[in-house]
Amino acid sequence: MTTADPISLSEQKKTIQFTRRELILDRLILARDFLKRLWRSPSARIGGIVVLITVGISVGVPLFNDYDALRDRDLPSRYAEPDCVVKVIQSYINDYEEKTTFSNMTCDHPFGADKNGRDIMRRVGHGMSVSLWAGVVAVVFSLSIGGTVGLLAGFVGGWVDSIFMRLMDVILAFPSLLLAVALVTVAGANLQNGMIAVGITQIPVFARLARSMSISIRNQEYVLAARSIGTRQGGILFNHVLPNSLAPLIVQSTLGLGTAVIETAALGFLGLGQQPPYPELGKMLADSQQSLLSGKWWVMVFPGAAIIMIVLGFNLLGDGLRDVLDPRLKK
Amino acid sequence: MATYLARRLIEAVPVIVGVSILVFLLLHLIPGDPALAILGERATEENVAVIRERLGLNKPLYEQYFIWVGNMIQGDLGNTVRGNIPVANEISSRFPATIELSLSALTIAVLVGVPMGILSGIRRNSLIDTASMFIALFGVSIPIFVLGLLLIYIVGVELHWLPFVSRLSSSVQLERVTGLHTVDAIIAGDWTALKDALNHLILPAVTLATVPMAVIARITRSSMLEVLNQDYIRTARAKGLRSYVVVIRHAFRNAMLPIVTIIGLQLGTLLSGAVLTETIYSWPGVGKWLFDSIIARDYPIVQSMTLIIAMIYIVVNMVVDVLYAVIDPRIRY
Amino acid sequence: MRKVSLLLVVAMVLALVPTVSISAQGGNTFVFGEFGNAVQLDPAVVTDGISFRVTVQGCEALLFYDGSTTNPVPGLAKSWTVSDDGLVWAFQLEEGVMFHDGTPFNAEAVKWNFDRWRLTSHPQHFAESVFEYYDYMWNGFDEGSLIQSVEATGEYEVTITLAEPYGSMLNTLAMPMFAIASPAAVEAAGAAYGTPEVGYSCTGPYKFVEWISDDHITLERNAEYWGEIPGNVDTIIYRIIPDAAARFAALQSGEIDAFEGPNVEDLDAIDAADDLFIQMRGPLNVMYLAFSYRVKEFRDPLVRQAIAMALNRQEIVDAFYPPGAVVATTMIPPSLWGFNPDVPAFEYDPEGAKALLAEAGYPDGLSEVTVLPVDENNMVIEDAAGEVIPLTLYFQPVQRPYNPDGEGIGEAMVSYLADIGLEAQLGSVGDWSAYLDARSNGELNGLYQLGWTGDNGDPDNFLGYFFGAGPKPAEGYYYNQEVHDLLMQARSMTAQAEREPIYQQVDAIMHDEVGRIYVAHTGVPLAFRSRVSGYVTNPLGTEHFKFVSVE
Repeated sequence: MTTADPISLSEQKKTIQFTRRELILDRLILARDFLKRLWRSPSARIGGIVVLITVGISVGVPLFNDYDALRDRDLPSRYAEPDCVVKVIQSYINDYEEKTTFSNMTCDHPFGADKNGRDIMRRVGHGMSVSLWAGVVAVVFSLSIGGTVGLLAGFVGGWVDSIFMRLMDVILAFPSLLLAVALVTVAGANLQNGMIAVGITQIPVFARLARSMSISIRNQEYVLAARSIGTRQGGILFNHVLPNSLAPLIVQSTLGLGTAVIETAALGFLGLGQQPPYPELGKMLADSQQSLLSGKWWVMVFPGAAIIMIVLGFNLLGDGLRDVLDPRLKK
Repeated sequence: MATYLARRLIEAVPVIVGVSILVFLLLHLIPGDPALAILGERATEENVAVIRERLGLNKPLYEQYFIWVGNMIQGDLGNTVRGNIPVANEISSRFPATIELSLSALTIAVLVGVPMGILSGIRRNSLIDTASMFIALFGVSIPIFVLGLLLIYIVGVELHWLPFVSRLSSSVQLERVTGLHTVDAIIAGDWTALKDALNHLILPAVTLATVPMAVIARITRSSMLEVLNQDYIRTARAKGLRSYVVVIRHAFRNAMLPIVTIIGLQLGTLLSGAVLTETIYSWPGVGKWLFDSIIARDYPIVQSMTLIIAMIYIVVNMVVDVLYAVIDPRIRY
Repeated sequence: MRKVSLLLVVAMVLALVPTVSISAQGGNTFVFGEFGNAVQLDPAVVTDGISFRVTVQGCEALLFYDGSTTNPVPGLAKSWTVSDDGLVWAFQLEEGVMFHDGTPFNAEAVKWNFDRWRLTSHPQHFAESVFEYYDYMWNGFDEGSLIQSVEATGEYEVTITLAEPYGSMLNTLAMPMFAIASPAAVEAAGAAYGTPEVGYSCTGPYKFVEWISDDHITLERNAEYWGEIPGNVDTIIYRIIPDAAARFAALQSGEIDAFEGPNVEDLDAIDAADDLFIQMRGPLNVMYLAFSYRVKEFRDPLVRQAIAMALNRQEIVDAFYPPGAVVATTMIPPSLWGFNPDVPAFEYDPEGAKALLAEAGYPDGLSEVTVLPVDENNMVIEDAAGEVIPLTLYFQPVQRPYNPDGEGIGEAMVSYLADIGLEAQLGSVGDWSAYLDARSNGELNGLYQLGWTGDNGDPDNFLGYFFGAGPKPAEGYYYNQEVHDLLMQARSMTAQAEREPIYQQVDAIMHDEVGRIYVAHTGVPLAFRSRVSGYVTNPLGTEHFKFVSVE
């Protein structure tokens, strides 16, 4: 075992020679313990379930439901009201003369239709997938760049550290949304650029976290020991600093995912994200503004609920993960 | 202390220079021609040339940068591209609206967030704790534009409780002293105007306050928990001091450091949020204006505003440091 | 320490506070909900309708448009004579008129204004301003301009000499950008004339009071107005509320009394409400879908006709436009003379469109097209190789009076095209100015939405402006020698009876070759509270609030 093992938490473990089978077994046990502890945290439990549902929808809908946004049009159904379950609930709450029941309801547009007569349920499903994907890409981007910059800056120190961290200060001195807006305006408004722009604004968060981890680990006794026996810098970085920084970075990534989903949706809301006719939650919400005051609530409520669901799920899961993975942060 | 502040100011210089260069480059990289922002459907080549000349867009980029910096240092923020109006005047007529909105939001966030956090911290794992932490979690999870639209629909459209458009009713006349309508109303002693201004302020301020409120509540709670576990609190309790004395005199005072930090850090959140809040509520402040100016490539506005925002950010962070020393006399610079 | 930070905040706030005073207002107030901030209140140097809606209340031109028509009638000029060759115009001015700053209105003031607009050497022809409308309506400045000289031939008589006869002279003089400002006020304020601190100073029924950017603009009744003010409004306030839905809400709550362009969705609710009503401004506009003739495939008339037949324009008009809007068949709207009622509409026929595409050699449709290069005269080089790009339909990024929802209509359009096998991308190029930029540089290589609202009620303003010159990048490199010659001929004639058949013929030619796809002519709805009466709409959009009364 000379390569990095993300599970090895102490120097001691590294001296034990595992056989391949034992190694797998060991990992399985660790994973099981981890999940067990995770399940005990209520926020992780609820968050995990919500995230599973979100991911299920985001992966399942595009997989099983072909959606041709280009051809989707039904102008005569412009702003059709939600039918199906919503109609049933409505007819009981408002006590309509003619009650819609589960037996006589129709299900053409369970979430209603938008200004082009397009089915909102379908677009919310595909929109969730887009929003989640955008969040993941943004976080992976800022994690990989911010994490690398932070770890290196903290590890190397000196002028490299100063320059990188001043650069982060410059980025932080902008309100993040405005910086993202400026970047997207330069690069051209589309989903890809939106994801990257949001990723860039989140870099300092990861860089600062990684740097503080890196500095504290750099001075740990086992690192000093490794250094004294002549381990090369690269070896220390990959075998000690990186693995031990992972837990807080994972926690931050989960929480950052919620932020990234909100920010990319905000860009969409401002018209700088996903371009029409393709569905995206922020864009759908922006479009809902023009009809909201004339009482067409369904155009706003369902995409809004979808965003809340995604973000809430990841924030809950992130809280739970933090409690379990990173006892140092647990107060 | 003075030397410390001086050092901080000097350290801020490269950041400000970095911000100015970044803004300048970004803006000039935006494709399209600001001249056309002025001219519209009826633009001709000669007109475009005149405007480009007026804006100094024909000079090399580095020269434009130094001209701009020179003017900024002399306090000349330039004129807007659209309308050729002095940027300084435009900023001063809009900034009070954003200041009023942000300060109200921050006040709400602190007044709600801190007590919520303290209560949660003291009664850990109680119903209050679970409830407030769920509210806090919901607060960071609901995007401003979703909450804003929901509030408009429910409170404004369905219930007709509060107005959700602009800052003051047309029927209300108010002399402009500070530009903060609530303050102006108090100065004028006009209680109808004050009520009207407050009514207009509630929905936008609550919308903008949610995220900072949630963050402050969470930080306060964890900070309280940490402090309550310290030995001296146990000692104080053991000595028989009453619970609220312990909490207020000892625990909260010591838990304040991270809370103050996080309040300072919320500034960026507030300004980002102001863009969306002002858009949704037709609030005549700088947030929406700055966004429009970026899109319309109105260079003088964007350049001046971003620099001002960056400076405010730096100043606020310094104020936070100063507050540290006030709260914790052990900290010396 | 606390004091220090408090002082900081107070200092910051005070530093930002301008000293603005509000004069007392009383009496009847009319509040108009405006969709954006005015650009500037010097009508000579702006082009946006928001600014004009303010300046037109206070700044008057030599002629007015009569009520809800586009016919020019006496304004500051009470009568005029013209020489037989149509070149020398003498205007007799109203006497005893005062500008808002108390200086007298006379022939010298009129001459001063014309000289300011037309002479680039004039000290108040500010280098930092663009006198764009003057340039465009009078063919440039200085010697190049249609106006050769303006002289005060009496205390109250002005003589204007033209280089050549100009068919729409009187209509053009009535445009709000050719309003007469007080020379003393402009000289005193310099380039700051028209900015929020200064406002305007003219002769009209309402004086400028204050302008808080993005918040409101206030005007007050001019007690010394020379003419009659039929309405009873003492104070006009423009409240700036960018979102149409929010304007509607403000109207419901009584915050504003009127606004232009409610969302189509809200029209029913306004109709149903007891205390609100709608008034329609007559249609004088057109929305169209233009072809870029650099696209090789679009040079085939069969393809253009297929596209015309693929779009269900009636369905689009029904869904997105206010009631009363009609499917357009020509560039000139039905309300304007020169309209050709005999041009038929293309019927919606996707099967027929597919057949035409097949006939043109594209049985499987298209998803990519070839863009051809142009020579130095902007003529498309037909036999060049060209560049293959995705087929794109560009939509207008903003709401315009003729286009209530560019994006929604664009989405519908690409879906119709997809139905006949044309897989078009929906293209956007940033904001409105970026869109216009791309259009005038000929970068919208595909189909693109645009439209036009009449400036002065003359058909040359519709057809001549677009197709009168050679092939232009801004018009998709469209060129037809016959159309060009006819339009140039009509421009130099002065008799309406002679010009009318020419415009009708041009629209017929352009229909036969499917030069462009016309989508809609629409009226523009204005919403009011029922306390408002007497509002006079005008198809040009220059509406005078002096007719308005409030209860």
